[in-house]
Amino acid sequence: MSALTSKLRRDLWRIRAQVFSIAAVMAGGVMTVVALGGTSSSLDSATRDYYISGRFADVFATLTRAPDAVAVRLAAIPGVNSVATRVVKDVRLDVPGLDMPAIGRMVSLPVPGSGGTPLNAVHITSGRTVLPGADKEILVSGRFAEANRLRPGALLTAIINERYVELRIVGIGAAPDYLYEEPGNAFPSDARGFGILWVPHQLAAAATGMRGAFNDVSIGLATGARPSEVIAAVDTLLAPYGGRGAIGRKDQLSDRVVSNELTQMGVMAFAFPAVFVAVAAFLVGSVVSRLIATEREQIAVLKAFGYTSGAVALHYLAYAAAAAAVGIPLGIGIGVWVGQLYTGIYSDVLRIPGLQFHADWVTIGRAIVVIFLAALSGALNAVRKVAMLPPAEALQPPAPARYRALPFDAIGSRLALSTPIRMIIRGLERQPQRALLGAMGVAAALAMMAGALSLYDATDNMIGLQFRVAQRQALSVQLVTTVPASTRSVFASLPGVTNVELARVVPVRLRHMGRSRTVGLTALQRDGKMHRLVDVDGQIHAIPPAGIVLSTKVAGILAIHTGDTLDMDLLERGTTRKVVVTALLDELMSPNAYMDLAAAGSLMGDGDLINGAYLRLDGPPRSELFEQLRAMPLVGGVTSRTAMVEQFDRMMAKSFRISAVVVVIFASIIALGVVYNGARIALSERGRELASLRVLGFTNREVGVMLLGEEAILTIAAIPLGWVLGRAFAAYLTYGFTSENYQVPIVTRTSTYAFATAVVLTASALAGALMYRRSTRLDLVAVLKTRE
Amino acid sequence: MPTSAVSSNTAQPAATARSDAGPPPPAPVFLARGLTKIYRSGDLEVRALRELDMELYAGELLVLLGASGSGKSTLLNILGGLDTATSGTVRFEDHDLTSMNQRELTQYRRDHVGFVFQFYNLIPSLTARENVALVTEIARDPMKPDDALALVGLSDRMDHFPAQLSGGEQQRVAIARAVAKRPDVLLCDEPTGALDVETGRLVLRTIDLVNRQLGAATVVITHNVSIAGMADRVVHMTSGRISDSYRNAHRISAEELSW
Repeated sequence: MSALTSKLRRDLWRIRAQVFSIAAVMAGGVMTVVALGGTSSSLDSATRDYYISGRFADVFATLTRAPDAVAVRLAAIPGVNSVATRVVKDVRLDVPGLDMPAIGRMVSLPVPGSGGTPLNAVHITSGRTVLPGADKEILVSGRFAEANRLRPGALLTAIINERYVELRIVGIGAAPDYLYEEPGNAFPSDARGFGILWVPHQLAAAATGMRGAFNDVSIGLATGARPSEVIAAVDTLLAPYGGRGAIGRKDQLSDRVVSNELTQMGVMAFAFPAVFVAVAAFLVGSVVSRLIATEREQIAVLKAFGYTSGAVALHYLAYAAAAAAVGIPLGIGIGVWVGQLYTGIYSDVLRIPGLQFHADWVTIGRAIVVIFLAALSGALNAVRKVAMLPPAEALQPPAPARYRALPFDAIGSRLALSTPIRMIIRGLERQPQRALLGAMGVAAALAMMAGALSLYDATDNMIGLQFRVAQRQALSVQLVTTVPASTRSVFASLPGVTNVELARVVPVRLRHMGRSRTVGLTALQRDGKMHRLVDVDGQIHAIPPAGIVLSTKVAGILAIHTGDTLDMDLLERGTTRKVVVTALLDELMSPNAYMDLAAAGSLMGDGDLINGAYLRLDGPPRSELFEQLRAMPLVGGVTSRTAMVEQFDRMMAKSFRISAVVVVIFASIIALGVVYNGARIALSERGRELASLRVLGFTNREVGVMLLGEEAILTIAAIPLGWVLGRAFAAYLTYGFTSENYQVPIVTRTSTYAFATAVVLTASALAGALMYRRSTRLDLVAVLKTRE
Repeated sequence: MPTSAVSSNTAQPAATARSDAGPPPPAPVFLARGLTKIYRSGDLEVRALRELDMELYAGELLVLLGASGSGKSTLLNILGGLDTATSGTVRFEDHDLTSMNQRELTQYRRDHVGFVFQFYNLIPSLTARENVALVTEIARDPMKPDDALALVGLSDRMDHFPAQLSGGEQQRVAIARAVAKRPDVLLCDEPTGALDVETGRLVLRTIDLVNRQLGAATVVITHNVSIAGMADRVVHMTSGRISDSYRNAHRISAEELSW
């Protein structure tokens, strides 16, 4: 081993606490890349693979009814490669063990032997597929099966054509078009209350009276085909059959959710590592600079003995490399573990077969390179000075620290500040850049934590707005068909029901100046107190007596303003009405359109019809209420607000626990690393000065104040900066969550910021305490005899 | 393996040697008896002080001479409350320094001791005035910093930072800082060690002046024998013992010193 290597090894051991603190910050950077990048790429590649193996369609359309022969015409559209027609219908289910009625989305399986590989193929995750000819065997989706503890062999009762039909679950399945199991209509749902049922074609056809016909079509495109052209052709072709407007993958609910998740993770996988990398570079720079300053004479000796500048420079770069060498494997290890936890959460929400965390080595490789470069660039400036230092000059002590009167001094003397306080302030004034970077480091720790935790506040706020302000009904009842408003009395007489409000959701296509958008038009009682129109700020808006209210997103798509008139195609009837836009609503979840229930009835010309009801109860729902609801064939699904909020909270809590622990640990590491190294360097630079003060009769505590005063001021100054940066960070992160369908208002909760502040202060105090202990062991005798 | 620093061929410390000019002042400020200091590092044992007895009287200026390793700095450190003896006792007025803990020693330094270091040890971020103020702010009955600096002849340099002062000026600031608290004892460790003759003389004159004006018992450590002439009493140390001690009949002024 060369002498320089021995020196490196021993010095690294001597300053191991500093090296490790830097390595830990680097580990944080690598960890976030590995965990977020790996989860993202695992999700992406599992989805991609599954889209290919499951033959995920490119274009989707729903319609009222078309004869099977139309499929041949669809297949003839240029650019269309394959066509799969299906029958899709929501049916009422009675699920064993579930007191509420549930909704099953019945999706017909391809007729056996119909040839070709089907689009949106169902992947069996357990059990078996439906046997040919077995018309009461079905497959159910994973989330629904798990939430209701349904296993192959279990029986479900569906109400089909007003008859109770017993269906046997033979397998649990997944399909590329239902990775995300949500009904995608205006009615809320929870995991137990909504599931996908893949059923034999004859069963679905019989249930809907669609023998020889279909109401749903999926289209696979030929390579190079343009989706927009095919969509236009499909719309034209299906228009006479009640086509609701074809959509491409990006508008398909399940794919859209997956893409949103990938975008979010992409944003986070960039933002978090960037913070760590910047802090790591700063720490490396300050520690190596200080090391070089204390070893000036050694450097001179090395050079005098004939070591080249390059060899000496390399020696000091090796300290940075050593920190990276410890931090990188540590980061990879923790990152893989955290990534597995995150991927686990995703697989609860998105049912992607084969979704497993795998470290993305390309991203990791990139992270390693970036961390190494950050470490080296941090050290480079200091090392450059070493390389340029002529040996003779290096043997001389460095020029004494030059202080001069600074602008603050005048204020200082007016304020009659004590001398120690002046010392602290001058120290900061003398190296403003270092002070600023130190403060930025602590602020970054606070910002990262506050920003990341704010995401949960933002989500919580959204849920609060949605379920405590906008939708306050205890139960939402979805009806299988449209009924007169007088049905209200039936619901009002149910046990425990104190109030009933009525609703009607109608699929419509809104058209304006050549643009169009298909939405569910929600018609509500104007005087309703349960389902209300609420904007992003939580303001409640009244439903105007006439005309339509659009979410601002929809208005943007249609390029329409208040007062304009649009064409509204009633997709279930094939007729069109003109309607005036009377208000716009900037809301959390869009796209939506609202009307007054009575106004909608008269516009459609069919009187007061409804297909949903909101119930308010005198307490928790009683079992006889559900019994009676289940006994009503009219009732499709029932969703309990409490169950839905609980389900959401559970999922968020799981993700929050992991994220909070990870972010708190790593933000603490950053704060600890910055303050510890700052104070450690201060002690090294000023050890002699502080020991002199001890000799002069200053107590340990007084000297401790002078040592840690700078760090304390920096930390305190960093806090408001951290709040501001935290809000900006939260804004950047929520930007990743904002899509055509959601907007996430940033929320600044005092409790979150207070918590983040407390964590940073604790970490800083810990670093200060470590350094204070060290300062009490200063050698007072040596100081009398040594020169600087 | 215990190792004695030097073979013990010198005579026992004798407090009565060369001349005895006038009666000794009545109550000693310091009274050391049987003072022994052993430094252990690993297997190595160094006896820095060996059963040393000594006194220092109020207002007295004592010059402590000796070669490197003779134990003079160790003695000064123990008197100054920076180090503790392995055995023996030191009394400062009616306090027993040997029984004090670190906190009490700090308080002792703060209230009673003024230090002057070979390398000044000024705080670079503070001006001359502020360096003195640093100490007066924590002292019980201090002078004004300006008065202390006037005493050392630096009235016109009070707002300068150490980097703007010459070595001699820095040392005089250090003396002002040491005396501004009106200490009972002033301990100077090689105060001229880093200075040229002319500047050194100026610094010694300042020490002489504050000793006379403030009456603080003063100990000046030096290996420069020429300085001995300015002392009331001169103590020679060899191998951790006092090998010689005598009183000067007349203190000569710093200007008359030469080396």
